[in-house]
Amino acid sequence: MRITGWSIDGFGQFHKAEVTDLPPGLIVVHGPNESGKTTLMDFVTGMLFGFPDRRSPKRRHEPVNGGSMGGRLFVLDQAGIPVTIERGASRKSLMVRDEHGERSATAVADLLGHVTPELFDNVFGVDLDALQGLRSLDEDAVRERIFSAGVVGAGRSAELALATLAARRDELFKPRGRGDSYQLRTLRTELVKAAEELRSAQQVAAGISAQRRDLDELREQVGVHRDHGRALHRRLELIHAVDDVWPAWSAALDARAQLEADSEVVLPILSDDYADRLADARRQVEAQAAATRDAESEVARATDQLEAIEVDDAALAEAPQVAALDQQRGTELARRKRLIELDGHLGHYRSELDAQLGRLGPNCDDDWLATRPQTIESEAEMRRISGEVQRARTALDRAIQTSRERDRALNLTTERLNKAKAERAAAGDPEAARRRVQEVAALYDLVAKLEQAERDEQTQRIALDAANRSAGSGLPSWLVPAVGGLAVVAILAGIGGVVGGAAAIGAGSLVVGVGLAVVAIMLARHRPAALPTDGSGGPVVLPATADVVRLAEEVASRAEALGVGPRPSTVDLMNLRQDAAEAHAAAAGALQTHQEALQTETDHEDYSADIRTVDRQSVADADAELVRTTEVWNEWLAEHDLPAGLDPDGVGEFLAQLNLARQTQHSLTTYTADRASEMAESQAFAAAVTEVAERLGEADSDVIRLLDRLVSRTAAAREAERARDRQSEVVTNLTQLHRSRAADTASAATALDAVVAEAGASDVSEAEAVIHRHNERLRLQSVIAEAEKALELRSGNRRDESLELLAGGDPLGWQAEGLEVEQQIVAADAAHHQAAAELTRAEDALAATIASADVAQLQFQVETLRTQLQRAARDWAVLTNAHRIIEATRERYKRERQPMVVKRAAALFAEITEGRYDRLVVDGSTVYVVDTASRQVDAASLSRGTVEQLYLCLRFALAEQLATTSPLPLLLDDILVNSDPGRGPRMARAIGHVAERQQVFMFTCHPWVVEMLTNEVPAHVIDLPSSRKSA
Amino acid sequence: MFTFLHAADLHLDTPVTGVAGRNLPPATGETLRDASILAWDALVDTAIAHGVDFVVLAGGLYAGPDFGLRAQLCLSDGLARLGAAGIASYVVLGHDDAAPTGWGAIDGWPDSTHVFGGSPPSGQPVESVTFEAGGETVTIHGVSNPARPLPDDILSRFPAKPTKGFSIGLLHVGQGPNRLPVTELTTRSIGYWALGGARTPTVHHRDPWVVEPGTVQGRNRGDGDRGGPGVQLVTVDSGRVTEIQSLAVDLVRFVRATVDITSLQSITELVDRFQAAVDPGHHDGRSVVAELVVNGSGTLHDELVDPTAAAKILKVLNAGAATTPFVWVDHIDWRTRPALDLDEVRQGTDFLSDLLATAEGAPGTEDWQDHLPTLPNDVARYLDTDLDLTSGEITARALDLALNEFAGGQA
Repeated sequence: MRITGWSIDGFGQFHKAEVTDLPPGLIVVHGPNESGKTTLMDFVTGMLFGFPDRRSPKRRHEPVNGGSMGGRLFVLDQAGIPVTIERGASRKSLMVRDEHGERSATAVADLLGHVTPELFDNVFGVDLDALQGLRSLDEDAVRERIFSAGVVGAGRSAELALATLAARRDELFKPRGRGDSYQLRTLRTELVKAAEELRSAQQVAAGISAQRRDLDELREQVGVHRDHGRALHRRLELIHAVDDVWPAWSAALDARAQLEADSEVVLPILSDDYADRLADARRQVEAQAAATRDAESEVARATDQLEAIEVDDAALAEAPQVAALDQQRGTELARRKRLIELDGHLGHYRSELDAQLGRLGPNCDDDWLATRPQTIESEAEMRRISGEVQRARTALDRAIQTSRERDRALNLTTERLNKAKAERAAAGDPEAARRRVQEVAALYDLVAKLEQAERDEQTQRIALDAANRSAGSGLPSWLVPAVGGLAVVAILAGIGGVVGGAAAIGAGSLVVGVGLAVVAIMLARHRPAALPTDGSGGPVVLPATADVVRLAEEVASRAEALGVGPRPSTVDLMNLRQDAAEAHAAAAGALQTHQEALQTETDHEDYSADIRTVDRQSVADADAELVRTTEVWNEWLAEHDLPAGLDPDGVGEFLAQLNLARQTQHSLTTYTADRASEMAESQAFAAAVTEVAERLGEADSDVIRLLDRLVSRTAAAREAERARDRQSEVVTNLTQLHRSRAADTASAATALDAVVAEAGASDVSEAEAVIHRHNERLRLQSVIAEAEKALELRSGNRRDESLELLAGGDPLGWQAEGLEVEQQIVAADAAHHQAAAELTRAEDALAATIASADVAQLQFQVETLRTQLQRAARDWAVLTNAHRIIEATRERYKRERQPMVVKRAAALFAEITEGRYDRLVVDGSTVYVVDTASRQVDAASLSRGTVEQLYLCLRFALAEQLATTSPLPLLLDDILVNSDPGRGPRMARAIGHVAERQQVFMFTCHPWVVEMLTNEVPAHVIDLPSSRKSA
Repeated sequence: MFTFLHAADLHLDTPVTGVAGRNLPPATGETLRDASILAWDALVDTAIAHGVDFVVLAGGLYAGPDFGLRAQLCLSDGLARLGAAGIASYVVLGHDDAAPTGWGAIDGWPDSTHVFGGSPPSGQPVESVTFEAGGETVTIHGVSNPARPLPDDILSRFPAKPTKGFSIGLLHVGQGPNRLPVTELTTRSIGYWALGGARTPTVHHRDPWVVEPGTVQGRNRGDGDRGGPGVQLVTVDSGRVTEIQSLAVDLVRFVRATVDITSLQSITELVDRFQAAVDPGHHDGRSVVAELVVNGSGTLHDELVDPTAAAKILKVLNAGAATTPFVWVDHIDWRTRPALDLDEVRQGTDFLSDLLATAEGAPGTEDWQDHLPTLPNDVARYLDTDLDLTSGEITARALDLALNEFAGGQA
């Protein structure tokens, strides 16, 4: 397929843009930046594969200058038939037609040789980014990129894809790898482990019946041990019971024997409480006798104590007066404290008043103060007169200050004038500075004209050189007219032949004529323009040279006048211009300042004389007023008996001090009267206390201490009186008690005699002997009853067994058996406990087994691991298959397609390197270049510039290889911009060779690239206007 | 009028399958492990809450000690709880229930529970129990067949003539080749056949009613065992079934959803689609265990082939894995493709067309499957033979993977 043109309805900035009749070979599309080269590339790609929709990240190039999006692309198909591809924004808008009408929907795919958009982008489109990207890669990445450029051509190499998939696959499992670190093996190991644990847990669960049987056996064993222990415990209990009862039982046997022996003596019948009653009666007699003796002793002791008490009767008589005085004690103490306080106040106010009088004036004392009038009128008058003096003082100060400030202003004006004069003298003449600025500007313009003239001269020289090269190609000047003449002759002959009936000859002549005409036109286009000469065929004189010489002379002249070299540089010019401008500005500024200062000086000279006179008069007037008011003030002070030196400014302070002294004097008078009153009352109290004390024979210098002693003495007298009354009452009571106890003792003796008679005894001793014998019989009977009771209590329902043992009467034997049974019990209990513990453990284990979630947990774990393993294996299988598919494809590709690509790339590369590298060798995934000496070099180690060229050769070769079935145009976007001057032209020629086989579009914004390409190979150039023009 | 609850196939402590559970929060793992037990507890709660007169369990309760013992205890405790609430339970055991020797963890059934005996001697009717419920006479005819198939003539042992009151036939018909043909059941004089064995709720016939309630808790075993209503609440009035209501007591649903990226513009949209598919609100508020499939081709494909993007999506989706109810996306099957017209590619002459031809075994290509490595036996022994995929599916996935490696844009 070959593109012959396009017609753009609307696409980006293009609107109604049409190009037709594009030739095969190299098409150079040139235009400045923003002229629409990329837009045009996208238009061509979009026409072939469809425009991106709105969801696509690719740029859509909506029309900005009108028209509906899309247009037509004119191509020739494989058979050379013109075909028009028409598209709009919608995918459904595609229409493909030729001279016979519309083609099928698959026509575009057929034209494209079923190349996908991705393949087109990656093989047939080469841009600068792909080349510049090589510069940022490391050697391995460059190696991979170089290899993929010629092998896969789908944007990514098979080797990289294989490595990626292998890495992912091998993480899961590597068939010949060692170790268990692969995910599949790890999972399998975990699964096996979990499955084994599950089996163990299942076996435990399955053994539940056996576990239960074991449990039943254990329960039975526990029962046997328990029964044996219980029997031993019963025997031991019996032994212990008999052993416990034996002492009582043995005593009962003796008691029975004694009762038997005493049964012949008959005793009187005594009540059960006889012994108690006898003892009570006897104790009553003894107790009453003792009480009577004690009462007698108490009476004697109380009487002695009564007689020992003494009472102070004189003090008792004065006690009411002392109590009355004691009640006044608090008042007297407060009075004494008040007197001390008053003394303090009097001292303080006395010294305050003295100080205040001293501050009022030297002759001011208590009397002077007392005679001062206290009227507000006098104070107001004093303030008025002193105020007049103060205002006069202020007026005088202001007049003096105003006069001084005006003096300072006049002096400042004079200083400014002097400074402005000095500045003007230093700045120089402003007019001279302005002229220098104009001269520098003129020189600046002249230099610019000279540089333009020099550029024109250079351009004319390049054009002349090109014309000379063209002229040297060998076309004689007569050739075009000659060929044109022949063409006219042939055409006329052809017309004549046709008209004359010789149609065949005529047609042939016409064809020849038209052909000669076309040749003549092409020769005319390539004929160089007329060259400028000196008119005699001598050396060529360029038109711009005279201007250069003239302008250079003029520049040198003006530069000398300004003090710089004959051909000042741009920096010199800029410095000159800046210096001149600064000098001009300084001079103009100084002149203005001077003029302003002069005006100010003139104004002040007229004004200053008048103002100085006025100021002096103002000061004199203010001073006279101050003298007058001061005299009035002094007269007023004397008239009112006030201190002569009192300053009018201190009047406020003086009046405040006066009022303060008056208040202090009043306080002093009040406190003096209070003290006299308090002192009189205190002296009356002291006289009353002293009078009472004298009657009781007491004396003390301190009244309060004397009062304390009186109070203490009267209190002691009262207490002695009360003690005597209480003791007298005690003696009376004790005397009555003694009489009562004596009567009770006689009654008790009578009662005792009656109780003794009940036992048929004559005295207490005999009665007690009867009681003793009676009690012994009762004791023996009690012993027997206790033994029976003990036997019943200890043996319970085992009385017969106990009596049987007791009949043996062998306590030692019982103890021995008891020890033996105890040992047996210990052993039996231990066996029971052991069995019971084992039973508990077994029951717990069974309960835990039943309630355990172990099996469920392990089942869950096994299932999750099985699922993980299954998924990992599936992923591994997919990865393995994918890897193998790519591997097999790569092998086929290497075998069938790669050799042709490499061979063609080597030819192109040899041309670019001028035969330095004449072969390429592919080993595995590495491309080697081989030089003429058969040295093999890894392509990745070449310079980046050479790597870029090799990369392009491989891409061109791959495109050519694909072009055998899909001959699509190559779209190259400014790929020569980084070429050095040496290899650039060779690269251009290589592109020309590619263009001989398939159409190549080279987009560039650099005129020199266009020039280089058109110099090296035949090319059709399309110039795109700038975006502003195209809009 | 009386009501009863009909359930079957508790499959207590039978594990869920097909869940990889990588990085599953421990508490969520325990819920999944205990889902069948918890569902049984919920069933008991439901019966008590509805105040049913009795409960019938048609087998499939517990498969034996290979699945642990606690299930026996849980079953017994649940039956005791029903009994304490005044609800009697009638139970048959099915062929996938444990044999009598397998019930050694419990000493017997609660007094409120009646477990029907096995097949009577040939010609004898199956065991029946008659009682009063809601003022009506109810007779339940049932037969247990733990750990063995039902005898061929079992249907003939059920009553052919009407009996007094309402009759219920309680039977576990099972699954697979030994499954009893339920179509013949209507020939017997039974008002409601309470069957067990099916994974999904099925009403085979109405009046007489032939009903299988499905599994109480799904176990992700195939499409029919993903969970949902698994209990039937049956109301009988004057000897006729007046209402049947399906109730769900399960805790976890197993969800499989597919999202096509063709029309999607962003990862966010894709995540939104996923989240909508697994939202518990769309699954009766149950916790969700999901397997998601992403297919189609579109602008998102290039982003999704990046494994980190896929991992991030999974992480986002599993943000609720530890909540209640939880959402656990166990696996995402990435089946998206680059936007390639394979027919176009086939007709080309470049590497991609060669790749396609090789994968599809076109003439002139070598058989790439000749040198495929295989998994070692010690691993393969633990795998299903087809890896859940046919060899054709594996090849298709491998081709997608290979195409992704080359059609992902300029390197």
